[in-house]
Amino acid sequence: MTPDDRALAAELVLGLLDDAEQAAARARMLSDRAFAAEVAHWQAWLMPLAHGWPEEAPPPALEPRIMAAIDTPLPGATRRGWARAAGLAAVALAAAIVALVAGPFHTSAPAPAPAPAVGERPALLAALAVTDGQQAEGRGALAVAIEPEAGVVRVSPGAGVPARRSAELWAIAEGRAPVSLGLLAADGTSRVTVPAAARALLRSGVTLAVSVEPEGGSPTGAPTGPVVAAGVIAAG
Amino acid sequence: MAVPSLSASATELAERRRILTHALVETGAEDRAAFQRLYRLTSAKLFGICLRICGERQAAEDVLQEVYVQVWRRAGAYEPGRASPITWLATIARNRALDWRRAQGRAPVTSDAVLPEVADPSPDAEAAMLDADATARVGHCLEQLEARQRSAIRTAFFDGVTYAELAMREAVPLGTMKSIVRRALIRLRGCLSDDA
Repeated sequence: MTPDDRALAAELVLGLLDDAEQAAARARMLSDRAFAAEVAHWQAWLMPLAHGWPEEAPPPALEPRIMAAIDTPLPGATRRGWARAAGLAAVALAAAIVALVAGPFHTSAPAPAPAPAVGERPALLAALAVTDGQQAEGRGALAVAIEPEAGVVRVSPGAGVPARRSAELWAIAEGRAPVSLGLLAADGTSRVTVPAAARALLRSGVTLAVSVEPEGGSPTGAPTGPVVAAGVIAAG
Repeated sequence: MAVPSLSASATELAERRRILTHALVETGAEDRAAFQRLYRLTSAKLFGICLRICGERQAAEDVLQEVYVQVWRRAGAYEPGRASPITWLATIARNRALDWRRAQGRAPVTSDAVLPEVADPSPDAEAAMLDADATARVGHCLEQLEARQRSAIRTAFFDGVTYAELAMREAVPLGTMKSIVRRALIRLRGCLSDDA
């Protein structure tokens, strides 16, 4: 870690970077454990400044609106302009990666590093875009980093699966049936260890997809719920 | 860092933090009543963050709703030993508001009609005491910087602006802005990571 790397981590936390730089820095968090730890340090150091924001009471009408919102696990309907704008911003791949990796840094102190063995870089990457008609609150593009030899696939949080359902990751080679790679974690970055028999699918050109399944995964061995995100594996 | 005089005792503040932590942990167990308590305890703080970064009330309300829905979903991942509850919540609010700004293609933030320019927001003394050590440290370390460096970092943090916007506000070339801030960050890190 050079001083510039450390400064970059701070720039990411502060939000100073432009979209492309931010996407690159977030992607780096997936593959570089030291960098991810540095980001977590800056987050922990800087966020206490949050006490400096002046308070402002929200309008009373918001409370019932929010209480209702948590009762509807995943309203498909987008609300007002902002969700629409967010959808548009996700068009470019760079922007898709932006929506993702660390997601909101929802833990502050040194986070469990979402990283592979030290010094090892993922050879393959994929960005899974939300599929048409499946936009929902809490759901965004997913970044995927793959270590084919180890059979490890890491997926950023944000599949936006309702409570008591599971997100299942599938690999689909051209003209073949989907093969399950495993379930995504309900929270945080997922680390999926792919069954040995499916590791041959961890290669460039294979499509990855995430479907919503009953808790514990598809009972049939094939996707049974909607595919909410998909993308193609590319060399990193 | 000068500590403002406090109206509440340390014991009361510790008790408040305990209540907040409890509400957040219970929320993680999908307890709606706890979530509502948490909302009432923290929504003014989080709305302040959203309003400041979004720069308009309607957007800030929408973002605040997103924030609390996310809090409801993610509270189970909160680890009390790791971060103070208010810092954890503020992180979600700030990041969500920053995402909104990016999705807007960077509409200019904080028209003066909505919010006054606050170069150095006065800290919320009670909240700061809930997180006293970490707050004191970052405050102290910012004080070690030159005024211009400090101002740039504060603006970036509180207003959620990018380098490009920061350079425009300060009326300096982008490259100059970046080198001012990078030097400041490297110096700041030296202070922040100094455990002595």
